[in-house]
Amino acid sequence: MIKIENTSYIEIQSRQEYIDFLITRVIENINNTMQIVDEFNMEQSSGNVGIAGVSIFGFGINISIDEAIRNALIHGNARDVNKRIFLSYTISPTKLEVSIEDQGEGFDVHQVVAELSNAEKPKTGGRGILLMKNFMDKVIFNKKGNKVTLIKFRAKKGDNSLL
Amino acid sequence: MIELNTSSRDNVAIVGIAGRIIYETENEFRNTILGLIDEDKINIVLVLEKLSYINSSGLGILINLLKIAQKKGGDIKLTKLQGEIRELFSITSLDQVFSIYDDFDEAIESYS
Repeated sequence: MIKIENTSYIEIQSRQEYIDFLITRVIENINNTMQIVDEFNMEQSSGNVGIAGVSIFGFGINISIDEAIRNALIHGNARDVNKRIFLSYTISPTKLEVSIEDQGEGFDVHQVVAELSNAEKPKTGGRGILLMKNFMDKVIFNKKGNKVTLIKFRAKKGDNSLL
Repeated sequence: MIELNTSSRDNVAIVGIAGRIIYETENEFRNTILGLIDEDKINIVLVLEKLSYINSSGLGILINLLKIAQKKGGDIKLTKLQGEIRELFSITSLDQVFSIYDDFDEAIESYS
């Protein structure tokens, strides 16, 4: 059986006013695309509708993408309008995968994560990563620290375990 | 996008927040609270029942406002946090930084 996936790719300047518009639109688009992917796969799978129709893209996804893009803008690209943010996301019947990459120097992921686990009151900068790690199933940084991939698995209908 | 309703009871300033604290609304939120503190209304309760979204930037603003209020001898207390917003405060350990009350009256009376 063939299942469709939808991948979108966006490149944007590091301007706050673009970023907030982008976040809102991306979340809307993800939810719309999810419906299309689900409807198509439901038609294709004979009678097996179990995989589709479970909405998981609410508050947690919204805030995770928000924080990742904000980090790229503020910490990664340091609000340099000549630098860009690259965002791509793939929606499949089993998961949502979002990648956000900036043109900054990157950062020491291990150090920030270690500080997070020690600090009682994390600094504003680290709070975003903390939120991503809590709301997503996987948060993967590249070695340089200028790209983060967020993954959220979708639960099967009537099955609380993750795919 | 955001509604801020200010009232008072027993020398406590009450601010009901409805909507989203995001880039476009965070200045309005900040200025409303700063305005209260400037008028020496430093005992503040924020009613967050209808707050649907706040990100780390908004949380940063909230912490700064708390520090400003506390410096003047006041406080910012929170009440009626709903599911995801409550989770947000728990994840970021901000539930240990702010006094949070389930009950509205209890939040008001905590100042007396």
